[in-house]
Amino acid sequence: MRKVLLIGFMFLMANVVAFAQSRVITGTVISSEDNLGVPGATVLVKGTTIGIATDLDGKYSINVPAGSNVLVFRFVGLSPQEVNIGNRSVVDISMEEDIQSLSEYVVTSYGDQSKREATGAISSVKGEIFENLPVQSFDRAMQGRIAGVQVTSTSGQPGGTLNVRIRGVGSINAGNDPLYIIDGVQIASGGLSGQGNQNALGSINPNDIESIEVLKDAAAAAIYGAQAANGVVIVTTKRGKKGKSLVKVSVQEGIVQPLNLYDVMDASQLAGIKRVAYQNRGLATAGADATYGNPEDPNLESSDWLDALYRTGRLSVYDVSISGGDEKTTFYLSGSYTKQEGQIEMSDYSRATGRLNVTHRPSKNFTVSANLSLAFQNTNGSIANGNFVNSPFVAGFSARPNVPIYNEDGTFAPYPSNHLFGYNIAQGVAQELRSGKTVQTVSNIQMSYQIAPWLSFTSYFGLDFSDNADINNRPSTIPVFSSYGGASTVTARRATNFNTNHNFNFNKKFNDVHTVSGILGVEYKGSQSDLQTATGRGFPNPTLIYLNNAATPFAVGSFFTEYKRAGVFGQAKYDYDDRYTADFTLRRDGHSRFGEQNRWGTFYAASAGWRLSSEAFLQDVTWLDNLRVRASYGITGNSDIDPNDLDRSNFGSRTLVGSSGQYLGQGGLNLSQLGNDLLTWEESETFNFGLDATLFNGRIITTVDFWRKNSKSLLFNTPLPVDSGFGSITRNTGEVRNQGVDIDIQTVNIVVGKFQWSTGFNITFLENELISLYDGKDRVGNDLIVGRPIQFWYTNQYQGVNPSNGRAMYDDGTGTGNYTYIAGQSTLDYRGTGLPTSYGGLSNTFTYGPVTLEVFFQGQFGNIASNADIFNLGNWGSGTGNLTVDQLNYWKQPGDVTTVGRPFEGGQEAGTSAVNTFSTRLLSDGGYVRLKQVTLNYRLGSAAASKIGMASASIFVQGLNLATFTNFNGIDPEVVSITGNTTFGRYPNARQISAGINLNF
Amino acid sequence: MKNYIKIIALGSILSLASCSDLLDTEPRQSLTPDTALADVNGYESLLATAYTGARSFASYGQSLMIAPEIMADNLRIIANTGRYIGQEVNADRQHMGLWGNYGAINVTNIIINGVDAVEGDATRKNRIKGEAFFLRALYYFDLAKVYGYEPGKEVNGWNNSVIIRTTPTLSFSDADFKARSTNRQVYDLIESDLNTAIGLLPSAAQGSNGIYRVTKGAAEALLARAYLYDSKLPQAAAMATQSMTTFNLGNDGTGLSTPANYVSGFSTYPNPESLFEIEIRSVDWSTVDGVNNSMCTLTSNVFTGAQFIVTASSELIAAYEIGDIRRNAWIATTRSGATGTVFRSAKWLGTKGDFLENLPIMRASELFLIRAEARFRTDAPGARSDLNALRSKRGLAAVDAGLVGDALFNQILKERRVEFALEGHRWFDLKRNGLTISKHSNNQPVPYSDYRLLAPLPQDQLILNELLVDNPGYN
Repeated sequence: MRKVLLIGFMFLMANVVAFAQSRVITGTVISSEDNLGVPGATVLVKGTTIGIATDLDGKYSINVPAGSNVLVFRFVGLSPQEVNIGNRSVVDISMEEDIQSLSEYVVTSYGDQSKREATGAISSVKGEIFENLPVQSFDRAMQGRIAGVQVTSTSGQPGGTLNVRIRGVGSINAGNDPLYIIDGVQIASGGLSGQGNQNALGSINPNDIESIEVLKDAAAAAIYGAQAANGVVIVTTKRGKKGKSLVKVSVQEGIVQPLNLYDVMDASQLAGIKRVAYQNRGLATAGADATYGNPEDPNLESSDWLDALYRTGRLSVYDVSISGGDEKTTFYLSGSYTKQEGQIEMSDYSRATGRLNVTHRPSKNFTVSANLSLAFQNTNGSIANGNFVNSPFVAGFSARPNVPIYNEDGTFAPYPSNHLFGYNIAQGVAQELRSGKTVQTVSNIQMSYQIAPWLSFTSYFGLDFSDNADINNRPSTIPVFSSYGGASTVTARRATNFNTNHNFNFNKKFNDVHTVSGILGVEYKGSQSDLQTATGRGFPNPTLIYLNNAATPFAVGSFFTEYKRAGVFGQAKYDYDDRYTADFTLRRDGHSRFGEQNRWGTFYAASAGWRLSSEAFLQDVTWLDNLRVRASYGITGNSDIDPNDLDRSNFGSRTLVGSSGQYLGQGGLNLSQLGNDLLTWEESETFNFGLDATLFNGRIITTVDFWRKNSKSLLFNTPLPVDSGFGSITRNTGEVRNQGVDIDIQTVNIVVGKFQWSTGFNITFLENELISLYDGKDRVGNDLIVGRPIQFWYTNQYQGVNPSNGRAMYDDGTGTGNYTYIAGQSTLDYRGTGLPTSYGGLSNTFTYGPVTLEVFFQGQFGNIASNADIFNLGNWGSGTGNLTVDQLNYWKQPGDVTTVGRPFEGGQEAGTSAVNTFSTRLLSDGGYVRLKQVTLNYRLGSAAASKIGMASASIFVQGLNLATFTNFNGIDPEVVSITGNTTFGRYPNARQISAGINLNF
Repeated sequence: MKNYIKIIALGSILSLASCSDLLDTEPRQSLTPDTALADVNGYESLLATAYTGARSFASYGQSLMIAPEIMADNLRIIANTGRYIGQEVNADRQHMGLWGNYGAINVTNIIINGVDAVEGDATRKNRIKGEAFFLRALYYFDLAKVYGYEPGKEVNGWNNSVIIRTTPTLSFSDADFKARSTNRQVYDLIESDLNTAIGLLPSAAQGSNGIYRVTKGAAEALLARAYLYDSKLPQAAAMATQSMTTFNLGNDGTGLSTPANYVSGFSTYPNPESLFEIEIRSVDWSTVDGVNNSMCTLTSNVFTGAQFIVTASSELIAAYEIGDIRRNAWIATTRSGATGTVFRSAKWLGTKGDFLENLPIMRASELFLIRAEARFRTDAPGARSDLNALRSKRGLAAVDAGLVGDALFNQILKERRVEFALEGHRWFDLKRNGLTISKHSNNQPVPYSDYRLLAPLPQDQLILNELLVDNPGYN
């Protein structure tokens, strides 16, 4: 493989012309790995365009003009080096393998391939980009870094899950999550705990990651056939290298702060508007005063609920690794501990990880390797993401400011029972235990035998196993739980994902120009998960929380599910002289989820690449280092039947009779699901046309992909008339089209002396359209409409407050622009998509000698987002809780032009729709640009480092989520953007500021 | 070297051999219909599910008890939690929603169409089938009351009622689209189902544990109620009499609770007057249903954390005659945020602990009131004596012997109003008689011809099913 690369580069570089002459420097470039010459390496005179390539033995000779004294050596896969010539006429150098440049290699679990050869759409991000970022999972580290990949938080809970969407949202009911493969282990993504948002991907310490590759089109992903419709994320962890052992230690400490909380009223402000609301309803204002306080009372005190709930948390990250090896064995051993406190009291996340990656070659042809990891994650969660009275993200803002939080003696004060169910949110957060502990391993063993120089066989076994223990204790000290003496719910979950594959890899070159390579293999995957849960009530003492302390066993539950998948696959690749590449992949997969007659599906892809820059007619274009076009077409599959429906997801093809409560002690059974034994794979058809170019001696590297993805035969929950007794049945029908362009540009903008400015920029433009539904229907309720994106807002057009009477006006739906006070079906219409039409990231890196500053922005545009918090906090004084201060600008008399209508207790004025009618009043532009990361790093000179006994050392300070530019009307535009409707009380992201030190021995 | 090959080969073979049952999986907590419904035990389990529909919070568990009271003039909101705020002022689309009944209806259809074919004791099968007929009738009756006018009481001839399904949905092809049937067709089905049930069901004594399942007498009582709604008045009176006979209720009120026991009966399980009562156990609720959704939490403040959002309207309180023992179902108290005295219900006290209580669906006193009304409307004798029989058990003297005409009718309605306060009758009693929905305090009454008398159909179903038309007036 390497040889192909080398020869290619020789062709490229042989034409670099040397100009002025002053002195001739010669030398040999060798690789530190094998001490052999490196052919085709670039040798550049720094600050000039003068360069040459090394010959087959790694030797070079270059004319260096007067005034120039630095040579730059570059080779793919090796670290670039700058060397001072000084008085020498011979400069020999040894180049080290560049562990950061693995993007040039694409790792699949069935064998590696050079990215230079790859004809599919593949993007990658190197581990160094996110090394030492205080993020808990690698999916967050991908955010804004990869064209075509959209990453948004579902929750700002530390260690929480994220939504990752590769090239849009293709499925309506089936899963849209990509396939994650960690060192070949096909893992289950999602959440692990029920008590806090705990990310299954968090078991992998991001600092252990060498690189992340994202396979975006069918050509890249078809080898994963059945699971690949939503793209594939391949994570490769670090491995040891032979030679001196390398010890790395890093320590980081920092703080976590709330971003942008709502500004809510104080007691007299709220009491004032509530009086008006009572008056307008015709109620005695004494009622308002009794509940909210007398606004004229100068002694009315305000409680600061937010202060009692929110905090500046602490974050700590400790990492240590040692790697090394000899001719036969290499290893990478690491351990880490991280703890991050959330912005809410009691909410935190801690994790300890250990990893051993070892490779051993007992003989020349036999390799055995193992990647063993163990992670312990502990989340103390918050109730979030819903309109819950015991959520600090709802009640923290709504809690009445005139109600004291604490009694005189410092204990928690009772909260009035007519609001928030009498729940003192500060007490609830402080005293309710919501803990999720998970032990997880993602490990594998792999054995390879080199049968012939061109043929090898590999057996691979991977395991993703997690064991979760949740406990939720609601102590009797909280008044609403006192009637039954408190309760504890204990839940145990266990998930096992096993996959194994056995494959031949071949690679043979004929006549120096024809290279044929490929893979032939079989794969099996089994997945099982189960759950047991029990609740006990009546604890004699609130500090006792275990079930054996409970007086009353209250409820039990359990769940089991499983699936199995098997497949055979083959891939053949042909390369002619590094100019033409063709690639064909075929895979056949069977899945237990589908009807017996429809289990097996065939997936395939074909792709071709043409490297124009290797053609003779471009040999004279010196500024063009590399130019290549690629095209691909293929079909991949999706078997994730509605992942939100526990029965349907794995057994959707079967009609099931399940348990359904009890009556008089007789356990109930019910037809819980209508099956469809015709059910089979959802298919994703992808077209991709790509262009890779490298210009001006690597100063500009760009990749542009134009793509279209047609998701067909969707695993679609087609609605049934509810009067049939069922809401829907899953059928293979409907089509969704996503199309767009992914652009990625890496540039080195300025190099002046010690100063360098480089930029990485990626952006994706995409559009989503529902092409068809089922049975010729053109819509499903107000949820899906053919010709529209698959997520949109279909609601009333709010026309503001009528200045004459303070009532809310809605477009009356007649097309005249006239208003109505009563919203109904006829006033609903399409009001914009919830899906972004573009997203991307921009990273600028400034280096001056040992100082590096990275400034990274991430953003998305074009989506309309809803903020249901307005129902609670912006209801014009009609509700029972606190409000944002902008509500003080309410309508007072005819003629008032305002955005806040006439306060009316209950919000249900006769002849007017309820004030909390869903309308565009709750919608706003969800687009944002966020200053995601700023890192300032100072690298100690190697001389100075060695003085203190280290190979290198650096210190850094960094900030995350430092600034956000948006018109969104809620707290955090990032946590609402994909998931649509449930926008009450989201746990927002936090600002993080930290400082740390890296030491390499 | 060869050893390594052997190791790999062995590993590969082992791992492949282990997938000999390659793609077979079992949904271990579920059964196939063939297995589940192979015998009468399976149908008994289905029947348990059919009962659970009645305790859902959209049905008798909450909404069918509270909404008909607050949409009329019996209740008022004293704490704004957002719930029932719209119903109190009869706002557009703020109504009852019972389309979920069809889930339980399908279960009854499976039983009715399938139980005869399986092995099992014939008596047991008949009983199961009879209960299913009763429950199907109950769920259709509730749907018909909410979504349609009663036969003969149509406004502008609007006789659309709900969709009738009497065959089970067992596969995709069964789930076809259907149009609404007429109110006549739905009432015919209800009456026919109940008549069938009467022939199949055993009897149990009023107020005994036996009435947690439906009995012959309960089917007769529900049929009497259906006839009354259907204005089949002689049949209503006769069926009420038949049910009273079944339950050994005397024409003089013998068998009803004594004045001393009327209120406490609601904290007795089952209620001594219950003809059919739904039992609830704590396991039927999620941990927060008691405090969030129970009748007790919404209507009373006996438990910490109770929401206590509704209280008796002053009009209802005023409707109790002096000495009426039923007035004691309201206990004066205060409520922070509500001015003055408010009343908590003494009918829904969660006496089974932690908000838990049963749901009486039909009580014996209703038979007297059905018969009184049916007799009055047919000018048959005995209306006053039926009223007096009930009044004698409520601490009240007999009505004036000369009470006739509208005055007598109003007395019957008033008697129903106080007897069934917070049991979900008020709205339906006004509606089925074609009366204006009277309202409490300054809320606007709803004339009988107003579109809000009928509930809107679920919007998603209207869009999905082109055969479905909404009730008039909903835009």
